[in-house]
Amino acid sequence: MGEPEGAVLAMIKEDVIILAIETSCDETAASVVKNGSEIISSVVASQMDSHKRFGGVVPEIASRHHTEIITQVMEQAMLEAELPFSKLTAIAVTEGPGLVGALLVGISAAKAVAFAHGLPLIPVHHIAGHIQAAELVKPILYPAMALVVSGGHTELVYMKEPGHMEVIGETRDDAAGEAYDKVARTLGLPYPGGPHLERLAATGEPTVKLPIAWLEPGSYDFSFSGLKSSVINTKHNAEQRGEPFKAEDVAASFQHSVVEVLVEKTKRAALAYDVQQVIAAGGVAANRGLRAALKDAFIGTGIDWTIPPIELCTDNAAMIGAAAYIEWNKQNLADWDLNGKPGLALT
Amino acid sequence: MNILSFTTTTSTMSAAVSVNGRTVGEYTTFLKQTHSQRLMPAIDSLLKETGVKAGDLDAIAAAKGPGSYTGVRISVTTAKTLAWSLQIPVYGISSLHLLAEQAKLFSGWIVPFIDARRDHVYTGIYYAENGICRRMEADGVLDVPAWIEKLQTLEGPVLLIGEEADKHKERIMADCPDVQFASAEQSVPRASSLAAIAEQHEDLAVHAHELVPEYAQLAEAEKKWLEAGGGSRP
Ligand SMILES: [Zn+2]
Repeated sequence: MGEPEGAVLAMIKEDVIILAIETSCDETAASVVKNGSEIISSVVASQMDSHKRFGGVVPEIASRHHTEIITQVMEQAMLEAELPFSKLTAIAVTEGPGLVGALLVGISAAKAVAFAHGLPLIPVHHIAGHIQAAELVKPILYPAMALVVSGGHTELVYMKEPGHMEVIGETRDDAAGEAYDKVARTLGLPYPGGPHLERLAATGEPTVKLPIAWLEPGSYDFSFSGLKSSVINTKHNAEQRGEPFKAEDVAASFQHSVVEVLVEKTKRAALAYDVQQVIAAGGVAANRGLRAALKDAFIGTGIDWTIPPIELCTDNAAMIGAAAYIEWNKQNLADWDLNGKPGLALT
Repeated sequence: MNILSFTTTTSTMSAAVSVNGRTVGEYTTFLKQTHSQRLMPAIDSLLKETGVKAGDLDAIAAAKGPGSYTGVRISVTTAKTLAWSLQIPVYGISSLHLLAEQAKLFSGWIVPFIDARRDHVYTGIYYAENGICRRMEADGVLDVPAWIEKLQTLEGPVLLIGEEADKHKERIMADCPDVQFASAEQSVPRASSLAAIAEQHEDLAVHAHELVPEYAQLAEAEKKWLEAGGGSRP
């Protein structure tokens, strides 16, 4: 696939324009990204309305929707980019982690479009994509520390240089987004729980005492299951005793506990690793309370921070195009036997 | 007319290239390894060997289900994306029609079937005469007792054809002693037959965006949701 000399020349002389595809969960997305930093087009078809009736993402339904709509989404991205296929350098696709059936739709489509146009294929790690979304806002300053928080992930990732990613802390049980969804369900909020819980929290006061799991000294790991159980118990006890239960105060207290531990551990890690920049990424980084607390935490520290706009925090394909640029520079390409890897590790 | 055809809807993976109605290459495996890893390498090597370039293709013909949900999506997604990329039409062909086509030299009823697990089969009713096989009823999914009842209503010669015949043969023969079963070699869904079906049925050609899988049944979550009185599908 492509001669090395040609590729090197292309890197020096020409813009690298990548059509990226993302289908790891319940968003069907395609995007055209230039040089890993400039979005030419970005299309996201959300399936949220379909999954709402089930109270969560149903993998089989997600895969079905991806298959129905994938070519339209890619076409829309190409039309909005106003570019012919001949201007593309490569096709990129999320290889994992994610729902395996959903990943396979994007991968099958990416291979077919790459094959038809004789383009190289770049496999991308979904979390590397979330982190690299920061590059679409402003250049990442290395070394950097990324806090990745989403429905499936809660990780602190140290990056010495472009393409280097080392997980220095992660959740030992629930992901932050998962905890948000479960607590939202406990409080009787509709799907998707996270944003509803956040709105409810904004109307309450953090007056309910809930635990924060700091874990052993020096650990950058997280744990949210105790916090989640505590909310469930608080509600249960209030019901048993016939005491008033102010859901908005519980929501505010829960949000306070989550944000406190996320921000504090991110700050400690950033200082310990002496980074130049902190990045927040993933769907939960769309949470306004977390965004505000992160900004406050780094004022006066000399450490720069980037929190991409909300549409770049939730799943999208532009972030995959941004991360693909780093893989392209390393010529990490896939063969036609590329497969979906639902549990792909970040290294 | 150059047609690239393939199926990954069951445990057989088959890909073929046909030029002006003649099969110039076919690649078929019966391995349980993932089709997602093996389909595009097969297409790549077939086109290279036959000297047909992707840009020279005039149509794609693919099995669109029913069958394994994931296999159906690999077949359909690859087919529609190739067709969209190359701006050519795509033929979506029933996996059951493809099976029935293997027995088109039979005279009488052909009943193709694909195991759908939990004592169900995907099946349909076809009729072959003078080497031409026609669909007589819509494909669907039935539990095995209902399927047996259906088979008992067919008058005249009946041929059953399916890759997992052994799973059902004894039970069927007990209730329907007159039906015949196609041999294992005959019961292979061959991609070259997809091209043949496409050449005969121009009406099966659609624009890439319009090609959707034929699952023949709702997803489990949707069934439960409807049972719980969920309402109409959005
Ligand atoms: Zn994500």
